[in-house]
Amino acid sequence: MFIITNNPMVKEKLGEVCYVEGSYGDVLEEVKRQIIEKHVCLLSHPLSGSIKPNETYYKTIFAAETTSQYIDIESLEYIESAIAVYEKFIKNKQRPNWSLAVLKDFAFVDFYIAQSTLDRMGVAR
Amino acid sequence: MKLEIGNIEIKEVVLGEEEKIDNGTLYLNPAKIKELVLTDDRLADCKIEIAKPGDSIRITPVKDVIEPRCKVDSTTGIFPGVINKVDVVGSGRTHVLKGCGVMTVGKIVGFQEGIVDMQGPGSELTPFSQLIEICLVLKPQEELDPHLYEEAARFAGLKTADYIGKLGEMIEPDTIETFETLPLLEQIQQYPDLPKIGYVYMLQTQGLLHDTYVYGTDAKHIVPTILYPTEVMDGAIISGNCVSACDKNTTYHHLNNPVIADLYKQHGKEINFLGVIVTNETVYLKDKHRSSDFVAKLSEYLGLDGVIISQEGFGNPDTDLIMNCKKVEEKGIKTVIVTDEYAGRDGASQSLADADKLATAVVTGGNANETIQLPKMDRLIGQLDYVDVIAGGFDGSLKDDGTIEVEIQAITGATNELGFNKMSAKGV
Repeated sequence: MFIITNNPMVKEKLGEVCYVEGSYGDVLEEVKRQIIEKHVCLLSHPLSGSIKPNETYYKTIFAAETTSQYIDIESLEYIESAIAVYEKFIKNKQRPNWSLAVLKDFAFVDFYIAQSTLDRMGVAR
Repeated sequence: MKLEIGNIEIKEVVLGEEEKIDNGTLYLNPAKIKELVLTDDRLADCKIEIAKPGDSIRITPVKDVIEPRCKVDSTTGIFPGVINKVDVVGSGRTHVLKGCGVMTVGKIVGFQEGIVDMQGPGSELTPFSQLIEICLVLKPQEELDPHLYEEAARFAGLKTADYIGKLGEMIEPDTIETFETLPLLEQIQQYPDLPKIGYVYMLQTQGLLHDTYVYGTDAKHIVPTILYPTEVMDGAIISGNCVSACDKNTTYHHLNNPVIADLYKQHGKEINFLGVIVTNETVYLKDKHRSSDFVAKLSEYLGLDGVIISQEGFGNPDTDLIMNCKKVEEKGIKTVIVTDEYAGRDGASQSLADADKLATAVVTGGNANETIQLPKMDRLIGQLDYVDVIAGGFDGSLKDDGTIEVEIQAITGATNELGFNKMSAKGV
């Protein structure tokens, strides 16, 4: 299992992660690239949380490496659908320029959802 | 399981020294409520304010709304496993203070909480503008973590609703309704010729600010299980959800679930309503597969002919909704799904994040991306400086003249996915 994130709080608190220097959309694109090129499969739903993709800046996704020679179609469908939703929301309304305090809250919620997901997976970090 | 609901109509709420219900007037002592709330030392302050239908009042940010209720002549209490001991509820008698609600108000995080206007165009989109709202405006101790503040605010609302509800224990209700569901085999026998219908009740359970509790248990850790519908009316399900104001289910929604109410109305006439399957909406994909497998398995095991499936929240719950629908349909059981839409401001975009050709019957609570202008109100309960960052608020959405332009997703209950909202098309 590995973690792909652009959330500095996840990086700080959960240790080794695949850190993306970029936006929520960049995280989705990086996951899609790894699903296609490295045949990784998704462990968590890419649209975790009901916070809209044009609100929060942070996204953390769990995936697993595989030895499969094929692309995991379910993972590809989820990520492509998430990218379509992301683009729809950003086109509808750009993300506001948040204050640092609000960004910290978004980071905290994303981290907490990631922590709950780890608990569900039975993984201690 | 048989439950009598005694409705006590509350027409006025008066703050003062007394605590009683007299001829439809609820008398409350704010000092006593404050004392009760502040027994939780995580909270620094609690102000009690009243908002009535038609008042020029804006309440924001709204966290939860709870209807005051109490068990009558019973060793059990409402909200079992949370503020009262864990005990099976849903039978005996419950008194309900209709026409009022306890509303928790306060900033948990710097975004994403709801607006309730008591008059004007915004009030027409939320059912909570029609209640006398007993607002608890909460303030946490400094530096309290959001997850601890959320829990303290959740308990404050539930404790207050329980406390106020108990004032109704000895009052003769204005109306009494009776709801009964028999043990499964007897219930099937009662109306053997009617179609057997169940309700799949999806609960938001993703983590901080996105949680729901069943008998006090965090529902992300349950496998789907079966409830008698009357258990829900006694507070077996409570909300810890602060996210997605328009389509989250407050505790008030759970207590008054309209899907359950409507299924009971047809029970013994057009359908045989067998019960409720509660399930979760999780982040971990294995949990999604497991839970939807269990929903389909339980639907088959109960011998259902049809189910109604309701959703809560946005995004990945769409996947749970479609998984539940598809797997239940594949068992040969008909489904109707209840959801809402994020279809862009013009309503032309794809509404849900997931879809399947077996999802052929859909009820929508409306398009959360629709925009609305909310005029200035004379009085504010809560804080307005966060409106800019509430879901659906635009950058600079608070204008100099006090008007707010927002998407309706900012309004609490506007596109509720149980159908407890005011936006609908009705046959005449």
